[in-house]
Amino acid sequence: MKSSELRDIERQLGATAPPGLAALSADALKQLGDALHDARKAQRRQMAAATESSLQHVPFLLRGAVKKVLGIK
Amino acid sequence: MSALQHRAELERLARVLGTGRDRLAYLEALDPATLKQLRERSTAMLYDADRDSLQRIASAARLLPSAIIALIAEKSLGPLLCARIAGLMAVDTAVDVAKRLPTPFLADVCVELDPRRAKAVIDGIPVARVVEVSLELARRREYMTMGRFVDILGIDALAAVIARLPDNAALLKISFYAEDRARLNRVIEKLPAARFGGIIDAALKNDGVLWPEALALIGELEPRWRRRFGEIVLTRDAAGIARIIAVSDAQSLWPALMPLADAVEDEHAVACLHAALREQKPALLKRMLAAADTHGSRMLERLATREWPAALRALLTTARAK
Repeated sequence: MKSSELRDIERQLGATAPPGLAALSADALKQLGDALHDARKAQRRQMAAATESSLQHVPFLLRGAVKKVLGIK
Repeated sequence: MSALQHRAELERLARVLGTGRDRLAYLEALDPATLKQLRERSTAMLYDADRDSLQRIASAARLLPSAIIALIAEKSLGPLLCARIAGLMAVDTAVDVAKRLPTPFLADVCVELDPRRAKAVIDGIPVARVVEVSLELARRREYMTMGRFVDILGIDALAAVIARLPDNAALLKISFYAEDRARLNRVIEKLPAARFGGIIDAALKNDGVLWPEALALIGELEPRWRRRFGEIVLTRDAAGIARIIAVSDAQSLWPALMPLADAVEDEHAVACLHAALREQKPALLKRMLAAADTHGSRMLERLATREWPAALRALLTTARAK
């Protein structure tokens, strides 16, 4: 039966975990899960900041259309 | 090779997760194949996690001229997001934008990029630009990044980079990180003759710190290239061969050296190795023969037909009798 740590990794990956991960301790699996979480979080943070600041460089006349495509109100 | 593959895989995974290899010490026990699967699934996770948002940014780019997109890419998006978006944009637009970006920024993007996801864009970048960015990456010692591009770039582009990158140690380190090992044979076809000996020299510098990498690489090449490297190694002067023997022995690299010696056809190279081994102590020869005993050796058979001092002859006879 899969441990809760392994299930968390699979949930984050959106895929089955490599079979070799079964060799890891619960503590190591927890650290891996945290590392995956941190990587996703860092990417999301960058994306949010970038989307907002991008608009500053868009010519005023195009800003509305770009906002619409980006899904920003 | 597996220790080297293990190190390379752990470094690749650390890069994907935006952390350092030392922060992944808890994964040391995993084999390279598992680390590779984990990296590929982590990469897919990061590319897919925000795919809708990334696709929206790529779609918004269609509304803007390339000059503005390049400005936004550099000033707002940054290298990580550019790397994620590159493969989602229309190829012509992405290539046009890439041409407008400064070389250091493009190098930053390359560090974050999974080249397999943006191959069409990479193929559209002019070779001269590829060379510029490659030299910038080499200046930063981003050998892992460059190794990933060896799998994707056209052979002519790779040859152009090699021609402008005189550092043979760098070539060795880049090849260490290339995943498509079979492709290295095609790259080596483009290697100027002088670089073969230069690579051996680079590997033996600093007490042979890169010698394990060099032997691992050569051991994976097609027989014709193993032969070429083997004959270059074994036709050096006596002091040169003695040094190779000493470095290999000190690092317990006899099993990796054997395939190189076995690939040799040139009788002069066999004679040179024989002359150098005759001067060695029995204990060293014993260690070499132990490796030959485990892996078998064509070279050993050829050496055995030559003249040896009594003590060494006895060792050879015992080893062959096993």
